[in-house]
Amino acid sequence: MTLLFKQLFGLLKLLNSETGENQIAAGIAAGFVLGMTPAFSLQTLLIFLCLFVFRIQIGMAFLACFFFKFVAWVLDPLFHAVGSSILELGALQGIFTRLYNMPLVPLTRFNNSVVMGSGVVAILLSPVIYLWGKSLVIKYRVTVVARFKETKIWKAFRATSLYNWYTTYDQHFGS
Amino acid sequence: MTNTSAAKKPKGPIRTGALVPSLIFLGLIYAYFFFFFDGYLRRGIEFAATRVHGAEVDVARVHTSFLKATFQLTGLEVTDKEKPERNLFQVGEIRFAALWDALLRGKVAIEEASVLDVQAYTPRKSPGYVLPPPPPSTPGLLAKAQEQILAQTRAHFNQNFLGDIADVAAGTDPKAKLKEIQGNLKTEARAKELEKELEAKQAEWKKRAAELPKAADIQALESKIKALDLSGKNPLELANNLKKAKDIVAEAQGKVKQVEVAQSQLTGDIQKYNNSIADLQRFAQQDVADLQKQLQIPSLDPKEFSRQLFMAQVEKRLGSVRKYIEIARKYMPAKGATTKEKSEELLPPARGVGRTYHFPITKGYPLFWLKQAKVSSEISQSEWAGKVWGGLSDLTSSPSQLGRPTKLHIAGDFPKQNIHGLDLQAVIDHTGEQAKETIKASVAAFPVTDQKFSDSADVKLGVKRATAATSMNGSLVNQSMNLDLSGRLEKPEFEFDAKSPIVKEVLGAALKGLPAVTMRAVVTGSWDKFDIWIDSNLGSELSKGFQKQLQAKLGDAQAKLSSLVNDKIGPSKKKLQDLLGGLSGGPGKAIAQNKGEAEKALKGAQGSATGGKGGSPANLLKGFGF
Repeated sequence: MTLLFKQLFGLLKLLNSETGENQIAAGIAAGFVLGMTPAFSLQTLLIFLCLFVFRIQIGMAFLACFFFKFVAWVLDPLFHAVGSSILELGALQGIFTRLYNMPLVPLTRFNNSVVMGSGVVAILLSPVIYLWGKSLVIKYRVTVVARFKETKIWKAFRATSLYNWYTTYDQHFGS
Repeated sequence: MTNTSAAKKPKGPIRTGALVPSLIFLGLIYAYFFFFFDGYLRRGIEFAATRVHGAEVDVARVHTSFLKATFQLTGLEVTDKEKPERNLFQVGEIRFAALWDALLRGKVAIEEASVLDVQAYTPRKSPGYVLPPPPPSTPGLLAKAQEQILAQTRAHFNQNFLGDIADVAAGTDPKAKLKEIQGNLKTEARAKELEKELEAKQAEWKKRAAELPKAADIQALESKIKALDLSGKNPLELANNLKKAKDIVAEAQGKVKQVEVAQSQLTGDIQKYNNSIADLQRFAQQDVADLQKQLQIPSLDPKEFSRQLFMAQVEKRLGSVRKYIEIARKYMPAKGATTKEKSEELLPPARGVGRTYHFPITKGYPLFWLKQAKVSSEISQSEWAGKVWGGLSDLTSSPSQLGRPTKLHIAGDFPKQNIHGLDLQAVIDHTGEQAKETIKASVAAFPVTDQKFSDSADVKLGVKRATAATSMNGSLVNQSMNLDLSGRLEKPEFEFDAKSPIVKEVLGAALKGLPAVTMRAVVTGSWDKFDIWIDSNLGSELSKGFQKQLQAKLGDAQAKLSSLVNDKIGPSKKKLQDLLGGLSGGPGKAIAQNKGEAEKALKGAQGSATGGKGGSPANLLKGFGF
């Protein structure tokens, strides 16, 4: 829980800074893929590994995952239809049979219609989500953060000792 | 804040800072598997095996290796449910290695497992606990199966059978107890039911008889025919009148037919109630048998003796067979069972679950597959070790996919424990549509101590020491089964005691010089409805002995019951016969009389239509089919 809160505070800090839009956008894209996947499978593990290894905003990924889980729940019938049509494609039966008999691959549960449908949709849409997320972060900074910084409240807060103490602390111990 | 961030060196795409936490995380996982996993697995095995066996199962150590995919279990001890201070058997070591090729496919395939150092009847350091039988209506497959067997065996099983005989020997009057029983007799209830039915029938037939066509109706039709001109002067008119005459005769025939049908239906009803009244005797016999049971008046039939003496043993064996069969059928489903599941899959899948497609398996494994397990044990220095050999092959969770039945064969001797000729063969064939199992088990000789046949306050009967032999042959196909169990106790040393001197004397005389006790039980039918036939020379001997002493007393008690039942149902039976007499004498007689008159009137009508002898109209009428 502490780690999660740390990540969420990190997200807020990063969101309001002038850098890191790629990390946040990657977090949204990763969360999108996680949220769309209906059950725990091998690809979920792969995403988690990516979250740990690459500098992707984990807090954003979890937030996005939470949000997209609800979207996915509504879209499940669509995923089922897409997955079924892919799994029933005559031309792909050979490759599916081969994958089905390979080690590790069956652990992805690719032969389930919802897993296949949501997987295909998520992979195809993840670059779009990444670009959309990035533009959203930039837009947020321009329209919300910049305006907020011009407000009297913020200026007054910046003049307080608490703010000075925090910036010093962040300079020395912040990530 | 912005200034300080900008001053920092920009970070690369790799999260180097996460390396240490990741290593710690992996280290923790490794530590869990290294220090705790084997222990938890051991406790899990002990818990599951204890629940399945019904008595404490202990495992000394479990060792697993992730990289080698190996499993090693040492010191398996299975408590003897009959004598918890010893183990039924003990296995020194079980080891196997799973195939990584299968593990990467999410399956467990074991090429060969070894079971080593088997010992029997080893003493336990502390007595193992025996699980109490599950209380009725406990959820779960095993509890339900057990309940189903007990419901049937207990219906024929009186655990205090010899105690009840002792009661009769002591001269207890069953009629005194009968006053306490406030139950309705089945015969009485059936008689009341018949009475109501007969009264309703009588009313129904009275009404129907009144509504049936009468002779007068047919005579009216005859008058209509007579009114027609059949003299043949005008051919056209003659043809018309002949047609009318034919229709009227057909109408009259229909009315007579109606009366005939009614009469035959009434005869059928009378016959049916006649049979029902006669059948009351069967109900009366059942009532006598029920009362006999309620009053605990034992039967001196040798078969009943055998059944009561050995039912507990048969029940125990049936329970064991059922338990293991249920487990096998649940975890190794036959093709028929999987087809059923597939047909259920045809229903629309639940939201978010989707449909799982199955592609042909070119190189795959069932979810679990133990190709072969070899049991090997030699007589060693240990006092309890035995020579055991045999094995298990093709134990799998998907027999239909594998296409090979599971086979088990274990044979052995434990000379130091006087156990000889142990042989167990089982074939579990769940490869086809139907689940089939065959079991053949026998032990040529083994020691028996303190076996109890009756342990009531009134009578105690058991065998202190004997050498036993036992065998079981069984075949099960789906729900039907056929089990043949037999046992023999050689040179039994009986121990018995009874409060009643007569019973003690009878027991002493019957058991004196009995060289062996034999028992054979045959169970046929299905698990939810089976018949048990048990025969034993001990039952016959005891029956003979008690018959000499108690036949007169028991006969008297049974006669009293029969007369009681007959006295109670006598008036009801009489009333029923009167009602039936009323039915055949009232509406029955009226319909029969009506039928005679109607037939007579019909003949008259036909005569009028044919118009006497041989004239031309008559010939014409014949031409119309009269």
